[in-house]
Amino acid sequence: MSGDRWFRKLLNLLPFDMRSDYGTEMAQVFREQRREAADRGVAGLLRVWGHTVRDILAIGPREHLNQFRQDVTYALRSMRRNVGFVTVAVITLALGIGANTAIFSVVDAVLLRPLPYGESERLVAVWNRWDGSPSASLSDPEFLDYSEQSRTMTFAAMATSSVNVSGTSGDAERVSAAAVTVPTLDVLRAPLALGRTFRPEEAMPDSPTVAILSNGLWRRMFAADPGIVGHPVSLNGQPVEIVGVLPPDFYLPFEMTAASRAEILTPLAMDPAAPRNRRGGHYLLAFARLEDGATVAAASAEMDAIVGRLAREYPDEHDQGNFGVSVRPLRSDLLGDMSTPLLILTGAVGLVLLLACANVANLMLVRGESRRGELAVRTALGASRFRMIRQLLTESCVLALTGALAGLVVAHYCQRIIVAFAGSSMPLVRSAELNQAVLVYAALLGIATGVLFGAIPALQVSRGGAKDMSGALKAGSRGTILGRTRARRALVVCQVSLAMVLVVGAGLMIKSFALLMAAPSGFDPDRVLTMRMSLPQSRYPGRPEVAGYFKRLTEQVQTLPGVRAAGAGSGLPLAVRSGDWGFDIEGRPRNGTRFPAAADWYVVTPGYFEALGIPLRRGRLPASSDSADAAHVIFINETTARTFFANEDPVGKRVRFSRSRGDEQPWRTIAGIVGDVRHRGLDTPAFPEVFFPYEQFQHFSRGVQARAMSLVVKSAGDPLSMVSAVRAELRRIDPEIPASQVRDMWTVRSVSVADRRLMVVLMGAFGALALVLAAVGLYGVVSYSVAQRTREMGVRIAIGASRASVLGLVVSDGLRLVAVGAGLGLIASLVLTRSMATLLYAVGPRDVSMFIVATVTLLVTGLVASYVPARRATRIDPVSALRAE
Amino acid sequence: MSERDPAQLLPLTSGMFQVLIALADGEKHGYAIIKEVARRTGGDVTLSAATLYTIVRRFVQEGVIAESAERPDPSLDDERRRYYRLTDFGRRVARAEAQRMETALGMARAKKLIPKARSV
Repeated sequence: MSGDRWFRKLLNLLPFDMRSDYGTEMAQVFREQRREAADRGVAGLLRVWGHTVRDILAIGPREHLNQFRQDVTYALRSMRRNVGFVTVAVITLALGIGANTAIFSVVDAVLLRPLPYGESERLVAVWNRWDGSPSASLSDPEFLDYSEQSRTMTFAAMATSSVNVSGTSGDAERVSAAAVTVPTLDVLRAPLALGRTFRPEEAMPDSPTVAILSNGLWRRMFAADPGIVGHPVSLNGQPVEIVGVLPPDFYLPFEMTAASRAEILTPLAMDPAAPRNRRGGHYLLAFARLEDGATVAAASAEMDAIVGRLAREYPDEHDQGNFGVSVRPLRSDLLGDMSTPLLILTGAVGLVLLLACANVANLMLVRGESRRGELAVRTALGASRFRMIRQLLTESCVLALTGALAGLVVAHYCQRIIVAFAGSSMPLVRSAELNQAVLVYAALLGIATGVLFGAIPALQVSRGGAKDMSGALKAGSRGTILGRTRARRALVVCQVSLAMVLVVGAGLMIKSFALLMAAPSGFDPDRVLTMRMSLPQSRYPGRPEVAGYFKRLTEQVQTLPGVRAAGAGSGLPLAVRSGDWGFDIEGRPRNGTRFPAAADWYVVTPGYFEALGIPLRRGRLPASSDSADAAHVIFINETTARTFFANEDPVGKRVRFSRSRGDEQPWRTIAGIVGDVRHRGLDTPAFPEVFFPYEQFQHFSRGVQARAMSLVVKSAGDPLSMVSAVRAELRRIDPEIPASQVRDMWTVRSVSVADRRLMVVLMGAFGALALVLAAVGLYGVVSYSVAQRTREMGVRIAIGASRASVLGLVVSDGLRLVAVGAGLGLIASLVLTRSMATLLYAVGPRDVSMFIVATVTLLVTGLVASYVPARRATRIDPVSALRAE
Repeated sequence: MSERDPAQLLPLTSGMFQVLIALADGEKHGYAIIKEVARRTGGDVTLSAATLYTIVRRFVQEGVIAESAERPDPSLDDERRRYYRLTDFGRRVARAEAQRMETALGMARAKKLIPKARSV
């Protein structure tokens, strides 16, 4: 008896069909074989068992494979017979799966791929924070104190800039650079491609003597010369020794979203012996590696204790409201603002796929009708229900995988579009590719999709088993057709509600983007050319040299034909911004040692405001008379005026800026107020800003000059047509100063919203796709219902119903489905759009107007989708419709 | 189905061929087929239950054999047993396989790999 049980268990290795067809017989034969073998003793029994076990182990997998092959062959054969159905289904699935795969490739590139550092999960970002500034940079004394006192973290920091580089060929190139603390690459655990990291003695306070090149720069400028280490490269006109080359695809933290990544690393000099009582000058981006066993919570607690001590030690310096230090996992700190839009996109594109599945399921149900005969025959021939379901699921999976394959083509093109829209401002998005992980994802998606849209039709078609099927052999049985119709109508309702959610989402994004683009930026980007240049310290050591260069440049460019105005600024709206700087206002007491005011600061030449079309509100604009030996003046924006001079006229008032490592700043008289500019982003209201005339500028650190400035040129015609003339002027003044970031201000403005635009384009595309898919689904169901009701329509028309009333009947039937779906979709939208709140500008996630627009859009789509079949219904000829019965 | 070419199924495994031979002179149930094959081959070919029914299943699907509707005398019959018989197509398949083997034998003889057949 137990022998039988064991044999039955073994049989489980065989395909279900084989077991159900022959299991009993096999058991019986095996019993007889055992009985006979028992006569020959234990050895005989063992031989029979061994033989049987070996055979079943060999046959099981082979038969499973055979059966699968048969199912696939059958599925392919039946697909060949239904080219129309297959084409529509494959296109639908290709769009759904392709879009999902493309989005996944971006998610993979941005969110899933590990940071290019060893054990990156142990890296943290370290920020100062105070009221209104959740993530502020560190100053030298702060960094030194934190890193010396912390026992839970090893610190590193970086500061970005840009430099002129020239290699052996002598061509100068302007590239992004970063000064990094000596242990940076060790903290990041980033192995170099060539050479070594910096040594402590190389962090010289004056100018760097050594540099590490990015892999890209090494290839570009030095043709990937493997012997480059030890050779000199010219940085800002000074030779420095190349000591190493970074690995490919390396980037420093905080450069995830930066338009350009540092191509040159130099050691950051900090003097631990310098007095630490001047703690302003926040410019360091700091990060750290947690020591073994340390947690983020422990590190945070430790920093709280350290900051508490420092606040007591330097009460005047740490009086910003609620000063503290945040320690956050590096990954979430860097990706924080990227994960929300990507998760929303993933959700949205997932809904699109569900819609596509519903459409294909609908098609399969219709096709199920026409296949009832075939399936009934197979049932009659003894195919089990299980076998039928498996066959149908195999067919849907083959279909879905074909769709997935076609989807890869769609994904490829989608991805190229995404990358094109992402532009250089989103380097991680640009690194998206159809790699192995993405291909596996597409395949899994294909199988999941196949099961999803195959399940309902498979169960529907095979339900009721032989009884239903034999009925089908005779004539369509009313009951199941009704059931199937109900399923199809339910699918359409689901589709409409999914489409509703997507259309509302897309609508909110589009409205938000439109409002953003219409928002007053404060400057006029029309016909403005801009480019940036930076003067090396070696040849432009002090203010007279720097100011002299920009004076000549702007004056000469102003005289070019076709130039309306020209000027230069240390910042550039929407592209280059500075931090803030505290200042005293004459006659206004300090709160302790705290300055009564602070503002973002910029250095400008005459012509800057005119070229950018920034209006003068009061007083005057900078002029060439604001020279170094003239009375010192300053210009402010409206927000500064409103914030710090609420009930008085600021013009004529005097201010004095703080100093940290330099001479006492002079008192400066406010000479003019200019209009607000949304400097930090179109979606960010203006901050208080002050503008120094370039000849009177004096940095808070002694000797620092505004060496990097953006030239802005307002032209009479196409700004880009001015490029060669302006470049000729540049060469005439100093051929060794290259211009970088040459573009017009519309481009600057457009790049600043690239991520939002990408989001709008994708959400808009998903919304449109959803509408089309829902319309196709509705069209299919209404058409089918018209075909089913031909006789009824014929009767109605015969007894005098007007064509209009037949039209109304059919259309209202379709619209009923739309109304139910739209209602459900609205409820779902109310819940789901909340997740978009942080991505929206000037629009609430429950913006009533967008909900109305989406509803109307869906109703109109529904109207069109039902109208076409309804027209067909009105053309039914009553005589032939009745005769056909 | 009537004009199917038996050659499509060739060559057969020795187990398959032996099953056809066993059924050539009348219908049999599974265990009887195994016994017949073992006896005829002197124990060289012993089919396990799993192997036999894999062959039976394939042959039924291909229309080479069929479950017999007629049952022997009920007193001799165990009702759980199913009997199988060769179809006409199956008979042609068996013949085609035998001919295929004969042709192969002929080639081997022509090359004197094996002695000429003794005439009976």
